[in-house]
Amino acid sequence: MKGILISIPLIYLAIYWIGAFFIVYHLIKYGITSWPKKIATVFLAGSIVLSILSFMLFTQINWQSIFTGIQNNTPKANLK
Amino acid sequence: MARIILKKQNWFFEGKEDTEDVVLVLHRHWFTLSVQILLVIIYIFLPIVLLVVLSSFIVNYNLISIFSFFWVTYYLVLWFWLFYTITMYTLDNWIVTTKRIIDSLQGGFFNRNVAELQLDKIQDVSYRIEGLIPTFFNYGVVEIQTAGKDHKFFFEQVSDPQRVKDIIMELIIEEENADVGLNNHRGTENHVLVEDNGVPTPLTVIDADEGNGNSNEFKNIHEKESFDLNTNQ
Repeated sequence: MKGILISIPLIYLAIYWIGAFFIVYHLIKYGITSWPKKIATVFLAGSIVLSILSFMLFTQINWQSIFTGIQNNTPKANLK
Repeated sequence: MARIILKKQNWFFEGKEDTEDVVLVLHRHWFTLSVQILLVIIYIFLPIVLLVVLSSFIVNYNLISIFSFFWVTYYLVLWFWLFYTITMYTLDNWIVTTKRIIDSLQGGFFNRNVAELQLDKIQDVSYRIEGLIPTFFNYGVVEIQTAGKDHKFFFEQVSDPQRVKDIIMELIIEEENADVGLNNHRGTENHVLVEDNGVPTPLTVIDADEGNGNSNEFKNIHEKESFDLNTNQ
């Protein structure tokens, strides 16, 4: 279960970084003047920060407390 | 009237020839991009609104950690979307060099159309500014009519289209002047252009071997003084 949960953000980040690669690749290959290279650098830096942050926040999710919270707040079925 | 000073840059782009310099790199006007950026800015505030509305639910169900994760992940997607938009905007450009005009259209990661037009193929350059916002921000369409068939080049939503048109005309003069220099050297034919209130005006083209028998005489249909086009200001 834990392995599946960990793999979800990893797959998501892998897809993200494939897209990020295409952005950086296009900006460097087809961009003219230094402006696209600067954009690529800013994008790369922001992507790294947000990816790390996203992964860290995912690892800090306490799934047990979430399940407990859901169970405690779910109305019990009336079995009368 | 003073001629336009052409600032030639040795910027590199894919397919650039060694003998040409970049004069203009044109993109759509920033206003067209700002609309999309504004949309991203609005979306930035969406999780904050969601947090305010669903705060009690998030606390009761212990969803703070998962909400934080989705918040950052959502920003990661927005970050990608913002730069995807900027990338498409940046790569959708027109490059004007001393030899040709290159029209690059980026319609996605895997959809790139590039067309080019030699300056000597240009017959006519015009521009139009239509609408309230384009008039206010001074952007519009520059239309380039080529000599071949009925093909046209369009620079869409470019800033200061009049200046762009003037620069292209100036480049055409330089290009023709280079031809004149070459042809004069060969002694075959002559092309002369003069400026009329800052706008280059073509003169009649007289073969050097025709006219009054004097190969150095050129007839100016506007009876204006010709100027040396070889001067690179």
